[in-house]
Amino acid sequence: MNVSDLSGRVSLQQLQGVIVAALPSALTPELLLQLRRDVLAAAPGAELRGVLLDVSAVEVMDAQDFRSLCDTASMCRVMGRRVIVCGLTPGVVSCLVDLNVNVYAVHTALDVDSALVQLSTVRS
Amino acid sequence: MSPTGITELEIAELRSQDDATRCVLLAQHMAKRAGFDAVGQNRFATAVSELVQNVLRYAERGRATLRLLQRADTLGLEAIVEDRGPGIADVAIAMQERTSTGGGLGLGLPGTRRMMDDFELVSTPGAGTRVIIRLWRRR
Repeated sequence: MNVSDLSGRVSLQQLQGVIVAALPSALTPELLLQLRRDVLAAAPGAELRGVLLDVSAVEVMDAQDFRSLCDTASMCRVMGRRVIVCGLTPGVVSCLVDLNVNVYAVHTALDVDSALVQLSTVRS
Repeated sequence: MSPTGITELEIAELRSQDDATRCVLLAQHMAKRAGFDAVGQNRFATAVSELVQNVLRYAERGRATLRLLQRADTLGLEAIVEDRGPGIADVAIAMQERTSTGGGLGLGLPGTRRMMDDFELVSTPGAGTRVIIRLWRRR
């Protein structure tokens, strides 16, 4: 089993004025905290329309992981940046609902494309 | 080796976040190889994640034992997650929604029970905690 990328860092890309972070299949609290630092550092950038957290590759997300993502999104919102979590898979969603976490604590979209549409039609 | 070609027993020592992550990946891998669908794989791996994170958070170290179960008509997975940490003073309260003595959500145990077919928790204050979960593959 390949576990060599466990302590990796999520790279941020800018696409049409939107920061896109593609999260890896395995999440750790450290990885999510580093992602938060990186996103918050990039958030004040001019011409930035929002931040997309693409979780389509994530296979397992526990309640703590989800809460960490929601906190990152809240912090960005306080700075005036919209955040959309996109690509939640049916398996992950089903577990989050079972875990009774507040799945409405963050804006979501089906995939990156629909998230970009949301960001272009709704002003922050 | 089992008929599915997966190892029947995996024991993971839990001492660090990397150990926890490996254990969760292992749980997911076993569920996949045992023929669970994506939602089933997710359920088992997420339940294991909740339990091993509790071990690291409250007991600092522990052990997870993942086992393939075979019944006449289907396969199942079992995880035994145990530690010698402080234990849970009042299991009934811990099994209620939204109680926590630590930094977590306080949602892990009832949520984990909802996701699984079987859930057993034995905890002795000062001696440790053992949780056993099982999930059977739908036919």
